Amino acid sequence: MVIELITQQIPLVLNALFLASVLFLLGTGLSIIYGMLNFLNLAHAAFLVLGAYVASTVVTQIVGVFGDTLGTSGLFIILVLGLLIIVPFIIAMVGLTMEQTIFKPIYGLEDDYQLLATFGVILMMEDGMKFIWGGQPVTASAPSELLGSISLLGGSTYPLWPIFGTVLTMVIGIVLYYFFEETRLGKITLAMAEDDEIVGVTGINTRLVHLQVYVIGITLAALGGALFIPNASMTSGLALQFVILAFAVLVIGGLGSLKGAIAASLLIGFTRSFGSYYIPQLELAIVFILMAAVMLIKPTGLFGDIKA
Amino acid sequence: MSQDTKTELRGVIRQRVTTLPGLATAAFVMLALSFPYLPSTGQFEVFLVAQIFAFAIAAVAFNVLLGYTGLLSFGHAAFFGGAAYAVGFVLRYTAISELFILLPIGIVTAAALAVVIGYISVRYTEVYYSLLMLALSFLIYVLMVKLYTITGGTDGLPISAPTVGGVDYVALWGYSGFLQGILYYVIAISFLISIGLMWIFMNSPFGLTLKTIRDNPERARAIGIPVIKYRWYATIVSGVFTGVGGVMYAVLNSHITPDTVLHWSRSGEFAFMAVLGGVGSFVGPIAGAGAFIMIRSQAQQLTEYWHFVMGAALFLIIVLEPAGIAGIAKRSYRKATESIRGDD
Repeated sequence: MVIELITQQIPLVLNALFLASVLFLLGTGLSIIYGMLNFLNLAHAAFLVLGAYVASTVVTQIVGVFGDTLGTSGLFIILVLGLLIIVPFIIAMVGLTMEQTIFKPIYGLEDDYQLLATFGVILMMEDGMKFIWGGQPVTASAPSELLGSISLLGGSTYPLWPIFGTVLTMVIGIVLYYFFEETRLGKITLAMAEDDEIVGVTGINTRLVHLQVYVIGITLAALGGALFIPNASMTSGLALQFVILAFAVLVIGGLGSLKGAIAASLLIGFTRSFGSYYIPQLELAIVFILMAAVMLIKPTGLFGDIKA
Repeated sequence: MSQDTKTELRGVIRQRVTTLPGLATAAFVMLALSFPYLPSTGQFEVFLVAQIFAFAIAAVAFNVLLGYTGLLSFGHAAFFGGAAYAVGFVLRYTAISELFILLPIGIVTAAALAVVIGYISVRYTEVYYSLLMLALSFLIYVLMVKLYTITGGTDGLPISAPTVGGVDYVALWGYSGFLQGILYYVIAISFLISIGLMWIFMNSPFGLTLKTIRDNPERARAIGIPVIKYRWYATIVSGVFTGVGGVMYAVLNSHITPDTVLHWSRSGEFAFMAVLGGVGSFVGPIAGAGAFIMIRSQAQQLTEYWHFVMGAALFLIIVLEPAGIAGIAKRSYRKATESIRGDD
């Protein structure tokens, strides 16, 4: 009886960890761009959806070209390369184009107006994606199917893809931590968050650093989408929901804190995973109650120290 | 009131009415009231203009916060939709169908929501205010979607045509007669009264205090203004009138769903209208609401990707003309007067 209860929880925990991974990739990107570049991009989450759409196309193309000729393991490697290299590359290019044309003119605006202008950008991106990929949900289950599944305690099976995604996100998290703490570029970025004019005076090309950080931010969101899509389906309408979840991560975790983003993603991931199993009516609602509660009790977020 | 103040008041009114804005207002009111009976007006135009009035109430109310208090709310859909849903619930669960009972119920609901949501949100400013409003209003959206046994879920609630003053005009005159003869006037007059009341509010010491807070919160606090309290009051005033707009929308469209009245993109649309019209101007958002509805109805006829058109319009307005239509109007008015003077 007790054992049964515990084994029942294992898939929920795995789901929660996977959801937390996607949210972490989404929220960290937003947090980096807002915290370090002081650019509040409401449209950030649209890059996750865009990443998922591009991933679905990339996967379909790869499967179409190679089919079964490579054997499953070869095909799987190509798919992963596609998701981890081709998708981020495409998103980075799209993102840079958008940065030059759309985002650059609004950097100087106040936060309020940045929010509104990027709300306009969301509407444009949403319809742009609907134009390219249509209104129907898309999916790309090939990588998940090729990876197969494992049997859990208690005889149920669970797909390996979410576990793979979680591990991969952990690696990305460690790399990010190393990047900000140890590398020169990371340190310059942290300094720019404090005062970019002074950094510019020392002869560092702040514009270049700005672009690099921006690309890292949106690429993380796109990776989140690429990891998400093999195990779920995506419609352009989901962008708005992810917008709020991304900000929930930011607010709950605290601005510009990697630790905070991890804690917040886990909190939201577990809340949603267990919530959707035990009280499906209210799972999303709980996330927002959580967000409001954290803002009231600790306005800086769980790990942040920047006052709202 | 003594004779003296009465004549003084009359003088003030005469003075005000004969200025250009006064004359424009008078002309606007005349046009609004005679609109359904102008020769070229059909049922569709009446509906469209009534729709503009309903949104204009909400847009001006929204601007009480954005333009006068300096707070960007991304949660006004909660007040708009809350009032609309209150009407929907009363119609569904009680036998009441009298507009003059439904309207106060909607307003009280919006006020109650604004009291609670505002109380929590005003502790923060700027982006955090926006996000907290967003989260709390989304909470209401989610509840309405998920508690579908009570709320109708994503299908929403039908709003049957209410009786007005106890008379069921739809049974008497048919729907188009009701729309042109009664409903339009109810909405137009609600619009005029709401705008008038908000005008008085914003030009009273209360409104001036809000402006002081917007321009310099620290100084306002230093001279003894309870800043947080005033922000709260402003949120409530704004929420109440947004609720009036919500009730009008519900009655006019005869059907509400969470996506049409409660979704946060609705809040974004109010912001859109305010910015399009000009947040620096009291009447700007009215023009903004009008322009928004017109652009949207044109875009919807042209393409299924009208969201794209709206998004691009919002973006371009913010980048190119942050003062909105009011800014353009002011500039061309100044240019016109300058060129007239130049001719002398």
